Amino acid sequence: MTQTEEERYAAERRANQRKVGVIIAIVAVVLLLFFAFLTATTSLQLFDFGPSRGTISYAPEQIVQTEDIALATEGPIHKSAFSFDGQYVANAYLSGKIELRKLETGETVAALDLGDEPIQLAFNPNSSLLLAASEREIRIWDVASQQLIYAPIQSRIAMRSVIFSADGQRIQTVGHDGSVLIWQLIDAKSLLERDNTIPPLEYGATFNEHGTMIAYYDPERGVVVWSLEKDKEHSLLDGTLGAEPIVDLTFSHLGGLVASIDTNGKVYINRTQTGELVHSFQWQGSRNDGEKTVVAYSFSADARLLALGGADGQIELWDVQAATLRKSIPGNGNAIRGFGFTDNGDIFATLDVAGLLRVWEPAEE
Amino acid sequence: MAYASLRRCVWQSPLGPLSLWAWGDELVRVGFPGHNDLIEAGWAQRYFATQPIPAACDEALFRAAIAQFADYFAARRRVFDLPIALYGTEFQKQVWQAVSTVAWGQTSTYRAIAEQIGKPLAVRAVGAANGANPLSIIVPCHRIVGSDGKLHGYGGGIERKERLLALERAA
Repeated sequence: MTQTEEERYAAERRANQRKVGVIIAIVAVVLLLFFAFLTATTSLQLFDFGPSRGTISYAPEQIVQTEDIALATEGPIHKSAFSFDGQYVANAYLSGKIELRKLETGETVAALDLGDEPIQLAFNPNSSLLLAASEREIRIWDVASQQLIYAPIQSRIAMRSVIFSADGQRIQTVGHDGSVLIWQLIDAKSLLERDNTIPPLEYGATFNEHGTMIAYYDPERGVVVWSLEKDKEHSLLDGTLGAEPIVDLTFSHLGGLVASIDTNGKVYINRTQTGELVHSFQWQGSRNDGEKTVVAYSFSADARLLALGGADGQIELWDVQAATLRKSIPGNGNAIRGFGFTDNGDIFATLDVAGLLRVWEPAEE
Repeated sequence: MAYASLRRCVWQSPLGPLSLWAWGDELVRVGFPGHNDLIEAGWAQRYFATQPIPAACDEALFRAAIAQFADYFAARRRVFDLPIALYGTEFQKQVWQAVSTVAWGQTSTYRAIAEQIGKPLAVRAVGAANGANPLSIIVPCHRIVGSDGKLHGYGGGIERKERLLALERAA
């Protein structure tokens, strides 16, 4: 009897322990689900694909031109993009026609069509997809098959800037009214819409590569960096409210710096985090009367260099930390349309409005 | 197409300086300087991201163009035969194509051009596109007048429009 009671007691204790265990498990599952939901929700709001970027291992003064290819084009090139793996260059015309080409030879591997004036042409970080956007529509092609994938995304709001997620599943756009949308590519539907996140844009705006911040120019305050994570102003960039309006903006690849360029080619380098002005320097080439002087720009992979391309075709490579001009390449009168720095930092390429493709590499020792 | 720099030479025509713009081996703009400088700058920026380089008028394309303009002003040439390229929106190109069908000595109206391109309600837009014609004289935008018979505007100034029409009528 005693033994039975003990057994019963033990059994009850085991039962109670099981109940507690089940309750703990249920609570754990609920908490797990809750955190999973939170994570999923957060991932809907922000991209964080942390692109791997290489380091420029050479002195810019020592680069030499290794390719000089006059591309067969059907008119002035309007937009261009270089893949980060150094394999491809894409060029778009004002009509919306696009050519995907091998960087090494300039050979066209695919003729694509956006159907309207392109505002942006971009490869995704692993260079597997090519995106082209007009103000109202985005189309995405698979680089390997050159096939249009996903349904075209049509926006009722004129878009100003577009950014890819690393997995190629989503894109984020900012419209001229300051609204930010995240789109799911698989069904061309918007996942998240934030109306008037930032003020209506009189000038351009740009995302950082992680899609967590937007930089835009406010003509009364200067360049503002807006945090999409916190949905509030992150920093106001010192010195950017100058005599001339800022017409172009770009983040460094890891997002720590912002380069702001005014109409006359004055460049401001600010820290994203604090807004502190690190340096400012002046484009040395000729001015483009009343119009944009610097028409192309790109940070190197490690943000040590800022490449500037002029309306006259001149190229300047600036050391961002020292604010010194490291290399200046005279122009031939044709505006630069784009720069490419490969991820491993080995290749630097340029394409101008007339279709002259130039590739530069470090000189052999 | 490479090394196709946007070039501009100025020739002294009987109606004053006439600027000729070339891109590669095509003529892309003809106009009377001083009337639409800002518009020209914006146009060049939009299509070529740059402003033209001053050039001498002795290259083959400019020489051929100048010879034909000289013949035109002497009433010896009614149609131009030059390599040209029209840079504008699709709508503008439609308008310019329609305007190009108006023959020497004839005039048409903005309304007629709107009807010709199948957009009869777009009379004002046709007027704007006609005013944005980058190839003055070659695309004879001076031959387009209002339905009321008035000359209305001209990129090179209304006096030049009168003189061009008078030249063509006299011949």
